Amino acid sequence: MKKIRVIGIITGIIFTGVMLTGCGSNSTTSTSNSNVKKIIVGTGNSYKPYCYLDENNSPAGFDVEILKEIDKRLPQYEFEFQTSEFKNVLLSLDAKKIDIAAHEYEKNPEREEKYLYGKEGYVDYSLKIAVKKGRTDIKSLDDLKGKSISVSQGGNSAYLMEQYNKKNNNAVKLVYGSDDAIQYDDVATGRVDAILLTKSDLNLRNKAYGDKLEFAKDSQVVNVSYAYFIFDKENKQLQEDVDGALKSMKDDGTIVKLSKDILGDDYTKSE
Amino acid sequence: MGKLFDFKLIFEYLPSILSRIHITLLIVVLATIIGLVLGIFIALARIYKVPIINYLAIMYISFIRGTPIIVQLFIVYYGLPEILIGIGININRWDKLNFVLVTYTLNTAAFMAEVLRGAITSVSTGQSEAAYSIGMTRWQAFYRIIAPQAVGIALPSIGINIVSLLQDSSLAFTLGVIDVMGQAQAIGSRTLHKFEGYVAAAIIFIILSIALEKIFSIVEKKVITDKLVGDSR
Repeated sequence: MKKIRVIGIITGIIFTGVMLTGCGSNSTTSTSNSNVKKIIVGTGNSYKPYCYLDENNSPAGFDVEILKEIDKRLPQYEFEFQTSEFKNVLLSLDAKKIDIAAHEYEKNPEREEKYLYGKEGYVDYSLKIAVKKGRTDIKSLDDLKGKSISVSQGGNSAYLMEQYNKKNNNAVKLVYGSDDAIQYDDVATGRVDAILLTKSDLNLRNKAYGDKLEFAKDSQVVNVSYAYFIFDKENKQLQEDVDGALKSMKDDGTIVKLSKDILGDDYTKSE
Repeated sequence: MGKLFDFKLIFEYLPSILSRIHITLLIVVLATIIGLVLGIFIALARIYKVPIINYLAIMYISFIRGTPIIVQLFIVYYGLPEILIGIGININRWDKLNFVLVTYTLNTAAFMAEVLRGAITSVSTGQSEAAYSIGMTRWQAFYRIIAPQAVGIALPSIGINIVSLLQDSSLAFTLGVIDVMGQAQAIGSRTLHKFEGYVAAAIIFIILSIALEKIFSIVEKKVITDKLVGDSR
Protein backbone atom coordinates (compact mmCIF):
# COMPACT_ATOMS: atom_id res chain seq x y z
CA MET A 1 0.00 0.00 0.00
CA LYS A 2 3.05 2.21 0.18
CA LYS A 3 2.78 2.61 -3.56
CA ILE A 4 -0.70 4.09 -3.34
CA ARG A 5 0.44 6.50 -0.66
CA VAL A 6 3.31 7.74 -2.81
CA ILE A 7 0.96 8.27 -5.75
CA GLY A 8 -1.45 10.05 -3.42
CA ILE A 9 1.25 12.42 -2.20
CA ILE A 10 2.39 13.21 -5.73
CA THR A 11 -1.10 13.95 -7.01
CA GLY A 12 -1.66 16.04 -3.89
CA ILE A 13 1.39 18.16 -4.65
CA ILE A 14 0.36 18.58 -8.27
CA PHE A 15 -3.16 19.58 -7.32
CA THR A 16 -2.09 22.15 -4.76
CA GLY A 17 0.33 23.57 -7.31
CA VAL A 18 -2.39 23.87 -9.93
CA MET A 19 -4.85 25.30 -7.42
CA LEU A 20 -2.37 27.86 -6.13
CA THR A 21 -1.42 29.15 -9.56
CA GLY A 22 -5.02 28.85 -10.77
CA CYS A 23 -6.38 30.91 -7.88
CA GLY A 24 -3.72 33.52 -8.38
CA SER A 25 -4.89 34.23 -11.89
CA ASN A 26 -8.60 34.02 -11.13
CA SER A 27 -8.52 36.69 -8.51
CA THR A 28 -6.84 39.13 -10.86
CA THR A 29 -9.12 38.63 -13.82
CA SER A 30 -12.44 38.96 -12.01
CA THR A 31 -13.89 42.39 -12.59
CA SER A 32 -15.62 44.13 -9.74
CA ASN A 33 -18.09 46.08 -11.82
CA SER A 34 -19.69 44.87 -15.03
CA ASN A 35 -19.97 48.42 -16.43
CA VAL A 36 -16.24 48.96 -16.12
CA LYS A 37 -14.31 47.45 -18.98
CA LYS A 38 -11.02 45.89 -18.08
CA ILE A 39 -8.13 47.00 -20.28
CA ILE A 40 -4.75 45.31 -20.17
CA VAL A 41 -1.89 47.69 -20.81
CA GLY A 42 1.32 46.08 -22.00
CA THR A 43 4.52 47.90 -21.26
CA GLY A 44 8.21 47.23 -20.85
CA ASN A 45 10.13 46.29 -17.76
CA SER A 46 13.53 47.78 -18.41
CA TYR A 47 13.37 51.27 -19.89
CA LYS A 48 13.91 53.82 -17.20
CA PRO A 49 12.48 56.46 -16.87
CA TYR A 50 9.66 55.55 -19.27
CA CYS A 51 8.65 52.11 -18.12
CA TYR A 52 10.44 49.98 -15.58
CA LEU A 53 9.78 48.16 -12.33
CA ASP A 54 10.08 49.99 -9.04
CA GLU A 55 11.30 48.63 -5.69
CA ASN A 56 8.06 46.68 -5.21
CA ASN A 57 8.24 45.30 -8.74
CA SER A 58 5.22 47.27 -9.84
CA PRO A 59 5.35 49.15 -13.14
CA ALA A 60 6.57 52.73 -12.91
CA GLY A 61 7.81 55.49 -15.16
CA PHE A 62 6.60 58.23 -17.45
CA ASP A 63 4.45 56.08 -19.74
CA VAL A 64 2.92 54.30 -16.77
CA GLU A 65 2.11 57.54 -14.93
CA ILE A 66 0.45 59.00 -18.02
CA LEU A 67 -1.68 55.90 -18.43
CA LYS A 68 -2.63 55.95 -14.74
CA GLU A 69 -3.81 59.52 -15.17
CA ILE A 70 -5.76 58.55 -18.31
CA ASP A 71 -7.35 55.72 -16.36
CA LYS A 72 -8.50 58.24 -13.74
CA ARG A 73 -10.07 60.39 -16.44
CA LEU A 74 -11.88 57.48 -18.08
CA PRO A 75 -14.24 55.96 -15.51
CA GLN A 76 -15.59 53.45 -18.04
CA TYR A 77 -12.25 51.62 -18.15
CA GLU A 78 -10.05 49.99 -15.60
CA PHE A 79 -6.40 49.64 -16.60
CA GLU A 80 -4.22 46.77 -15.52
CA PHE A 81 -0.52 46.76 -16.31
CA GLN A 82 1.45 43.84 -17.65
CA THR A 83 5.15 44.09 -18.17
CA SER A 84 7.47 42.11 -20.38
CA GLU A 85 10.61 42.67 -22.40
CA PHE A 86 10.37 45.39 -25.02
CA LYS A 87 10.47 43.06 -28.00
CA ASN A 88 7.53 41.06 -26.63
CA VAL A 89 5.17 43.97 -26.08
CA LEU A 90 3.97 44.33 -29.67
CA LEU A 91 3.93 40.56 -30.05
CA SER A 92 1.53 40.45 -27.11
CA LEU A 93 -0.67 43.00 -28.88
CA ASP A 94 -0.67 40.72 -31.94
CA ALA A 95 -1.75 37.80 -29.79
CA LYS A 96 -4.46 39.93 -28.16
CA LYS A 97 -2.92 39.42 -24.75
CA ILE A 98 -2.94 43.16 -24.23
CA ASP A 99 -5.17 46.02 -25.44
CA ILE A 100 -2.74 48.95 -25.33
CA ALA A 101 0.98 48.87 -26.03
CA ALA A 102 2.97 51.62 -24.33
CA HIS A 103 6.72 51.76 -24.78
CA GLU A 104 7.68 55.10 -26.30
CA TYR A 105 6.50 53.92 -29.70
CA GLU A 106 7.40 56.16 -32.57
CA LYS A 107 5.64 56.01 -35.89
CA ASN A 108 7.02 54.08 -38.79
CA PRO A 109 5.18 52.89 -41.90
CA GLU A 110 5.57 49.21 -41.09
CA ARG A 111 4.00 49.57 -37.68
CA GLU A 112 1.31 51.94 -38.94
CA GLU A 113 0.14 49.36 -41.43
CA LYS A 114 -0.28 46.73 -38.76
CA TYR A 115 -1.55 48.58 -35.71
CA LEU A 116 -3.79 51.45 -34.78
CA TYR A 117 -1.82 54.45 -33.56
CA GLY A 118 -3.16 56.99 -31.11
CA LYS A 119 -3.54 60.41 -32.69
CA GLU A 120 -2.01 62.25 -29.75
CA GLY A 121 1.73 61.94 -29.22
CA TYR A 122 2.72 62.41 -25.61
CA VAL A 123 6.46 63.00 -25.65
CA ASP A 124 9.12 64.07 -28.10
CA TYR A 125 11.12 61.14 -29.31
CA SER A 126 13.47 62.67 -31.83
CA LEU A 127 16.60 60.65 -32.37
CA LYS A 128 20.09 62.08 -32.79
CA ILE A 129 23.46 60.49 -33.32
CA ALA A 130 25.48 60.10 -30.14
CA VAL A 131 29.20 59.28 -30.17
CA LYS A 132 32.08 58.93 -27.75
CA LYS A 133 33.07 62.29 -26.29
CA GLY A 134 35.59 64.16 -28.36
CA ARG A 135 34.92 62.39 -31.62
CA THR A 136 34.46 64.74 -34.54
CA ASP A 137 34.51 62.42 -37.53
CA ILE A 138 30.77 61.69 -37.42
CA LYS A 139 28.25 64.40 -38.17
CA SER A 140 25.52 62.68 -40.13
CA LEU A 141 24.36 59.21 -41.03
CA ASP A 142 26.44 59.42 -44.22
CA ASP A 143 29.61 59.72 -42.13
CA LEU A 144 28.77 56.34 -40.64
CA LYS A 145 29.40 54.50 -43.90
CA GLY A 146 31.87 51.73 -43.21
CA LYS A 147 31.41 52.27 -39.48
CA SER A 148 29.06 50.66 -36.99
CA ILE A 149 26.03 51.77 -35.01
CA SER A 150 24.26 50.24 -32.04
CA VAL A 151 20.51 49.73 -32.43
CA SER A 152 17.90 48.11 -30.21
CA GLN A 153 16.21 44.99 -31.35
CA GLY A 154 12.65 45.68 -32.48
CA GLY A 155 13.09 49.39 -31.85
CA ASN A 156 12.65 52.29 -34.17
CA SER A 157 16.39 52.98 -34.29
CA ALA A 158 16.83 49.52 -35.80
CA TYR A 159 14.04 50.16 -38.29
CA LEU A 160 15.48 53.52 -39.35
CA MET A 161 18.95 52.11 -39.88
CA GLU A 162 17.64 49.08 -41.75
CA GLN A 163 15.77 51.41 -44.10
CA TYR A 164 18.89 53.54 -44.50
CA ASN A 165 20.93 50.47 -45.29
CA LYS A 166 18.43 49.30 -47.88
CA LYS A 167 18.88 52.54 -49.75
CA ASN A 168 22.61 52.65 -49.27
CA ASN A 169 23.62 49.09 -49.99
CA ASN A 170 24.27 48.05 -46.37
CA ALA A 171 26.85 50.76 -45.86
CA VAL A 172 26.52 50.90 -42.07
CA LYS A 173 27.20 47.91 -39.87
CA LEU A 174 24.33 47.40 -37.42
CA VAL A 175 25.07 46.00 -33.99
CA TYR A 176 21.90 44.77 -32.33
CA GLY A 177 21.56 45.00 -28.58
CA SER A 178 18.81 45.02 -26.04
CA ASP A 179 20.67 46.15 -22.95
CA ASP A 180 21.20 49.87 -22.30
CA ALA A 181 24.35 49.44 -20.25
CA ILE A 182 26.03 47.20 -22.80
CA GLN A 183 25.06 49.46 -25.70
CA TYR A 184 26.43 52.47 -23.84
CA ASP A 185 29.62 50.65 -22.97
CA ASP A 186 30.06 49.54 -26.58
CA VAL A 187 30.06 53.12 -27.80
CA ALA A 188 32.08 54.47 -24.86
CA THR A 189 34.87 51.95 -25.43
CA GLY A 190 34.83 52.34 -29.19
CA ARG A 191 33.68 48.80 -30.00
CA VAL A 192 30.80 50.48 -31.81
CA ASP A 193 31.07 53.92 -33.38
CA ALA A 194 27.70 55.49 -32.66
CA ILE A 195 24.18 55.08 -31.29
CA LEU A 196 20.86 56.82 -31.88
CA LEU A 197 19.41 58.34 -28.72
CA THR A 198 16.90 60.92 -27.62
CA LYS A 199 17.99 63.90 -25.58
CA SER A 200 16.46 62.60 -22.39
CA ASP A 201 17.96 59.15 -22.90
CA LEU A 202 21.44 60.54 -23.39
CA ASN A 203 21.24 62.81 -20.34
CA LEU A 204 20.06 59.97 -18.16
CA ARG A 205 22.68 57.49 -19.31
CA ASN A 206 25.47 60.00 -19.00
CA LYS A 207 24.43 60.61 -15.43
CA ALA A 208 24.46 56.91 -14.62
CA TYR A 209 27.54 55.74 -16.48
CA GLY A 210 29.89 58.66 -16.19
CA ASP A 211 29.45 61.20 -18.97
CA LYS A 212 31.21 59.35 -21.74
CA LEU A 213 28.98 60.11 -24.73
CA GLU A 214 27.75 63.26 -26.43
CA PHE A 215 25.66 64.16 -29.44
CA ALA A 216 27.78 64.41 -32.55
CA LYS A 217 28.81 68.03 -33.09
CA ASP A 218 26.57 70.02 -35.46
CA SER A 219 24.52 66.92 -36.17
CA GLN A 220 20.92 67.16 -37.30
CA VAL A 221 18.01 65.28 -35.82
CA VAL A 222 17.88 61.97 -37.65
CA ASN A 223 14.21 61.33 -37.13
CA VAL A 224 11.56 63.61 -35.71
CA SER A 225 8.76 61.79 -34.01
CA TYR A 226 6.58 61.74 -30.98
CA ALA A 227 5.87 58.68 -28.92
CA TYR A 228 2.39 57.22 -29.22
CA PHE A 229 0.29 54.53 -27.65
CA ILE A 230 -0.55 51.65 -29.95
CA PHE A 231 -3.86 49.78 -30.14
CA ASP A 232 -5.33 46.82 -31.92
CA LYS A 233 -6.99 47.84 -35.19
CA GLU A 234 -10.36 46.62 -33.92
CA ASN A 235 -10.16 48.83 -30.86
CA LYS A 236 -11.13 52.17 -32.42
CA GLN A 237 -13.34 53.22 -29.52
CA LEU A 238 -10.60 52.73 -26.93
CA GLN A 239 -8.12 54.70 -29.05
CA GLU A 240 -10.54 57.63 -29.33
CA ASP A 241 -11.24 57.64 -25.60
CA VAL A 242 -7.55 57.50 -24.70
CA ASP A 243 -6.76 60.26 -27.19
CA GLY A 244 -9.50 62.41 -25.68
CA ALA A 245 -8.02 62.01 -22.22
CA LEU A 246 -4.50 62.68 -23.52
CA LYS A 247 -5.71 65.86 -25.22
CA SER A 248 -7.24 67.16 -22.01
CA MET A 249 -3.99 66.33 -20.16
CA LYS A 250 -2.00 68.29 -22.70
CA ASP A 251 -4.36 71.23 -22.43
CA ASP A 252 -4.25 71.49 -18.66
CA GLY A 253 -0.49 71.01 -18.46
CA THR A 254 -0.50 67.62 -16.72
CA ILE A 255 1.84 66.06 -19.25
CA VAL A 256 4.40 68.84 -19.04
CA LYS A 257 4.29 68.51 -15.25
CA LEU A 258 4.80 64.74 -15.43
CA SER A 259 7.66 65.23 -17.88
CA LYS A 260 9.38 67.67 -15.54
CA ASP A 261 8.80 65.44 -12.52
CA ILE A 262 9.89 62.16 -14.05
CA LEU A 263 12.14 63.01 -17.00
CA GLY A 264 13.71 66.03 -15.33
CA ASP A 265 12.75 68.53 -18.01
CA ASP A 266 10.01 69.38 -20.45
CA TYR A 267 10.54 66.92 -23.27
CA THR A 268 7.04 67.16 -24.69
CA LYS A 269 7.89 69.41 -27.62
CA SER A 270 10.38 68.67 -30.34
CA GLU A 271 13.26 71.07 -30.86
CA MET B 1 27.45 57.45 -9.52
CA GLY B 2 29.45 57.39 -12.63
CA LYS B 3 31.12 54.02 -12.65
CA LEU B 4 30.15 51.27 -15.03
CA PHE B 5 30.88 48.65 -12.40
CA ASP B 6 30.60 49.21 -8.66
CA PHE B 7 31.43 46.31 -6.34
CA LYS B 8 29.49 47.68 -3.40
CA LEU B 9 26.26 47.55 -5.38
CA ILE B 10 26.48 43.76 -5.69
CA PHE B 11 25.88 43.38 -1.97
CA GLU B 12 23.32 46.14 -1.94
CA TYR B 13 21.28 44.31 -4.57
CA LEU B 14 21.77 40.80 -3.22
CA PRO B 15 18.96 40.80 -0.60
CA SER B 16 16.30 42.08 -2.94
CA ILE B 17 17.32 39.67 -5.67
CA LEU B 18 17.28 36.89 -3.11
CA SER B 19 13.71 37.82 -2.22
CA ARG B 20 12.52 36.41 -5.58
CA ILE B 21 14.14 33.04 -5.09
CA HIS B 22 10.78 31.39 -4.38
CA ILE B 23 9.67 31.94 -7.98
CA THR B 24 12.81 30.28 -9.32
CA LEU B 25 12.43 27.42 -6.87
CA LEU B 26 8.72 27.04 -7.67
CA ILE B 27 9.57 26.65 -11.35
CA VAL B 28 12.33 24.14 -10.62
CA VAL B 29 10.43 22.06 -8.03
CA LEU B 30 7.10 21.90 -9.84
CA ALA B 31 8.70 21.20 -13.22
CA THR B 32 10.87 18.48 -11.69
CA ILE B 33 8.05 16.68 -9.87
CA ILE B 34 5.45 16.75 -12.63
CA GLY B 35 8.15 16.30 -15.25
CA LEU B 36 9.38 13.16 -13.53
CA VAL B 37 5.87 11.67 -13.28
CA LEU B 38 5.12 12.44 -16.94
CA GLY B 39 8.60 11.25 -17.84
CA ILE B 40 8.02 7.84 -16.27
CA PHE B 41 4.88 7.33 -18.36
CA ILE B 42 6.57 8.48 -21.54
CA ALA B 43 9.59 6.28 -20.86
CA LEU B 44 7.40 3.23 -20.23
CA ALA B 45 5.39 3.90 -23.38
CA ARG B 46 8.66 4.00 -25.31
CA ILE B 47 10.11 0.86 -23.71
CA TYR B 48 6.98 -1.27 -24.05
CA LYS B 49 6.33 0.22 -27.50
CA VAL B 50 2.71 1.13 -26.79
CA PRO B 51 1.16 1.62 -30.22
CA ILE B 52 0.66 5.24 -31.39
CA ILE B 53 1.80 6.70 -28.04
CA ASN B 54 5.30 5.42 -28.78
CA TYR B 55 5.47 7.45 -31.98
CA LEU B 56 3.92 10.52 -30.40
CA ALA B 57 6.49 10.26 -27.62
CA ILE B 58 9.36 10.01 -30.12
CA MET B 59 8.11 13.14 -31.91
CA TYR B 60 7.56 15.00 -28.69
CA ILE B 61 10.99 14.21 -27.31
CA SER B 62 12.85 15.09 -30.48
CA PHE B 63 10.92 18.36 -30.71
CA ILE B 64 11.73 19.36 -27.14
CA ARG B 65 15.34 18.32 -27.40
CA GLY B 66 15.77 19.89 -30.80
CA THR B 67 14.47 23.38 -30.05
CA PRO B 68 15.76 26.08 -27.70
CA ILE B 69 13.69 26.49 -24.56
CA ILE B 70 13.01 30.14 -25.38
CA VAL B 71 11.22 28.99 -28.54
CA GLN B 72 9.16 26.55 -26.49
CA LEU B 73 8.36 29.36 -24.08
CA PHE B 74 7.01 31.51 -26.92
CA ILE B 75 5.07 28.61 -28.44
CA VAL B 76 3.32 27.90 -25.15
CA TYR B 77 2.77 31.57 -24.32
CA TYR B 78 1.57 32.77 -27.73
CA GLY B 79 0.67 29.60 -29.61
CA LEU B 80 -1.14 27.43 -27.07
CA PRO B 81 -3.91 30.00 -26.40
CA GLU B 82 -4.52 30.27 -30.17
CA ILE B 83 -5.03 26.52 -30.40
CA LEU B 84 -7.23 26.33 -27.32
CA ILE B 85 -9.37 29.26 -28.47
CA GLY B 86 -10.34 27.07 -31.43
CA ILE B 87 -12.05 24.67 -29.06
CA GLY B 88 -13.59 27.42 -27.00
CA ILE B 89 -11.16 27.71 -24.11
CA ASN B 90 -9.67 31.14 -23.58
CA ILE B 91 -6.47 31.05 -21.57
CA ASN B 92 -4.93 34.02 -23.34
CA ARG B 93 -5.08 36.21 -20.26
CA TRP B 94 -3.94 33.66 -17.74
CA ASP B 95 -1.21 34.61 -15.35
CA LYS B 96 2.17 34.46 -17.10
CA LEU B 97 3.66 32.23 -14.46
CA ASN B 98 1.26 29.45 -15.51
CA PHE B 99 2.62 29.49 -19.06
CA VAL B 100 6.15 29.39 -17.72
CA LEU B 101 5.36 26.45 -15.45
CA VAL B 102 3.69 24.53 -18.29
CA THR B 103 6.68 25.10 -20.58
CA TYR B 104 9.30 24.02 -18.09
CA THR B 105 7.24 21.00 -17.07
CA LEU B 106 6.85 19.84 -20.66
CA ASN B 107 10.53 20.45 -21.27
CA THR B 108 11.63 18.57 -18.18
CA ALA B 109 9.28 15.67 -18.92
CA ALA B 110 10.98 15.01 -22.25
CA PHE B 111 14.47 15.04 -20.81
CA MET B 112 13.46 12.92 -17.82
CA ALA B 113 11.75 10.42 -20.13
CA GLU B 114 15.00 9.88 -22.02
CA VAL B 115 17.06 9.62 -18.84
CA LEU B 116 14.64 7.10 -17.35
CA ARG B 117 14.36 5.12 -20.57
CA GLY B 118 18.11 4.85 -20.75
CA ALA B 119 18.32 3.79 -17.13
CA ILE B 120 15.58 1.17 -17.41
CA THR B 121 16.90 -0.40 -20.60
CA SER B 122 20.40 -0.54 -19.16
CA VAL B 123 19.29 -3.05 -16.52
CA SER B 124 20.28 -6.36 -18.07
CA THR B 125 17.49 -8.43 -19.62
CA GLY B 126 18.64 -11.38 -17.52
CA GLN B 127 17.16 -9.62 -14.53
CA SER B 128 13.64 -9.50 -15.90
CA GLU B 129 13.94 -13.01 -17.36
CA ALA B 130 14.91 -14.28 -13.94
CA ALA B 131 11.95 -12.44 -12.42
CA TYR B 132 9.53 -13.93 -14.96
CA SER B 133 10.98 -17.39 -14.37
CA ILE B 134 9.96 -17.36 -10.73
CA GLY B 135 6.45 -16.42 -11.72
CA MET B 136 6.41 -12.65 -11.36
CA THR B 137 4.07 -10.68 -13.59
CA ARG B 138 5.39 -7.97 -15.88
CA TRP B 139 4.42 -5.25 -13.40
CA GLN B 140 5.94 -7.10 -10.43
CA ALA B 141 9.16 -7.63 -12.32
CA PHE B 142 9.34 -3.98 -13.21
CA TYR B 143 8.38 -2.66 -9.81
CA ARG B 144 10.41 -5.04 -7.64
CA ILE B 145 13.44 -5.87 -9.78
CA ILE B 146 14.03 -3.40 -12.61
CA ALA B 147 12.93 -0.07 -11.12
CA PRO B 148 15.11 -0.17 -7.99
CA GLN B 149 18.19 -0.84 -10.11
CA ALA B 150 17.23 1.78 -12.70
CA VAL B 151 16.81 4.50 -10.08
CA GLY B 152 20.44 4.20 -9.06
CA ILE B 153 21.53 4.51 -12.68
CA ALA B 154 19.22 7.41 -13.45
CA LEU B 155 19.96 9.55 -10.40
CA PRO B 156 23.15 11.28 -11.58
CA SER B 157 21.55 12.31 -14.88
CA ILE B 158 18.39 13.48 -13.12
CA GLY B 159 20.57 15.66 -10.94
CA ILE B 160 22.31 17.17 -13.95
CA ASN B 161 18.94 17.87 -15.56
CA ILE B 162 17.64 19.65 -12.49
CA VAL B 163 20.72 21.84 -12.28
CA SER B 164 20.39 22.81 -15.92
CA LEU B 165 16.67 23.43 -15.40
CA LEU B 166 17.68 25.86 -12.68
CA GLN B 167 19.77 27.85 -15.13
CA ASP B 168 17.11 27.64 -17.85
CA SER B 169 14.49 29.09 -15.51
CA SER B 170 16.22 32.45 -15.90
CA LEU B 171 14.56 32.89 -19.30
CA ALA B 172 11.19 33.42 -17.64
CA PHE B 173 11.83 37.15 -17.40
CA THR B 174 11.49 37.58 -21.16
CA LEU B 175 7.77 37.08 -20.57
CA GLY B 176 7.83 39.35 -17.55
CA VAL B 177 7.82 36.81 -14.72
CA ILE B 178 10.06 38.17 -11.99
CA ASP B 179 12.31 35.41 -10.72
CA VAL B 180 15.91 35.80 -9.52
CA MET B 181 17.18 36.77 -12.95
CA GLY B 182 14.13 38.95 -13.57
CA GLN B 183 14.73 40.86 -10.37
CA ALA B 184 18.38 41.36 -11.31
CA GLN B 185 17.34 42.86 -14.64
CA ALA B 186 14.56 44.94 -13.09
CA ILE B 187 16.99 46.44 -10.61
CA GLY B 188 19.47 46.90 -13.41
CA SER B 189 17.12 48.98 -15.50
CA ARG B 190 15.83 50.88 -12.49
CA THR B 191 19.28 51.95 -11.36
CA LEU B 192 20.95 51.64 -14.77
CA HIS B 193 23.54 49.40 -13.14
CA LYS B 194 22.96 46.03 -14.75
CA PHE B 195 26.27 44.25 -14.43
CA GLU B 196 26.22 44.33 -10.64
CA GLY B 197 22.77 42.74 -10.61
CA TYR B 198 23.94 40.00 -12.95
CA VAL B 199 26.90 39.25 -10.69
CA ALA B 200 24.61 39.08 -7.67
CA ALA B 201 22.32 36.68 -9.59
CA ALA B 202 25.36 34.62 -10.55
CA ILE B 203 26.31 34.25 -6.88
CA ILE B 204 22.80 33.02 -6.05
CA PHE B 205 22.75 30.58 -8.96
CA ILE B 206 26.16 29.17 -8.06
CA ILE B 207 25.16 28.61 -4.44
CA LEU B 208 21.88 26.98 -5.50
CA SER B 209 23.63 24.73 -8.00
CA ILE B 210 26.21 23.60 -5.47
CA ALA B 211 23.46 22.93 -2.94
CA LEU B 212 21.54 20.85 -5.49
CA GLU B 213 24.66 18.88 -6.39
CA LYS B 214 25.36 18.19 -2.72
CA ILE B 215 21.79 17.04 -2.10
CA PHE B 216 22.01 14.71 -5.06
CA SER B 217 25.31 13.19 -4.05
CA ILE B 218 23.84 12.44 -0.61
CA VAL B 219 20.74 10.87 -2.15
CA GLU B 220 22.88 8.86 -4.55
CA LYS B 221 25.03 7.51 -1.76
CA LYS B 222 21.98 6.56 0.22
CA VAL B 223 20.34 4.77 -2.71
CA ILE B 224 23.52 2.88 -3.51
CA THR B 225 24.17 1.74 0.08
CA ASP B 226 20.52 0.74 0.42
CA LYS B 227 20.86 -1.35 -2.67
CA LEU B 228 24.07 -2.99 -1.44
CA VAL B 229 22.44 -3.82 1.91
CA GLY B 230 19.39 -5.11 0.05
CA ASP B 231 21.53 -7.29 -2.20
CA SER B 232 23.42 -8.89 0.61
CA ARG B 233 20.24 -9.79 2.40
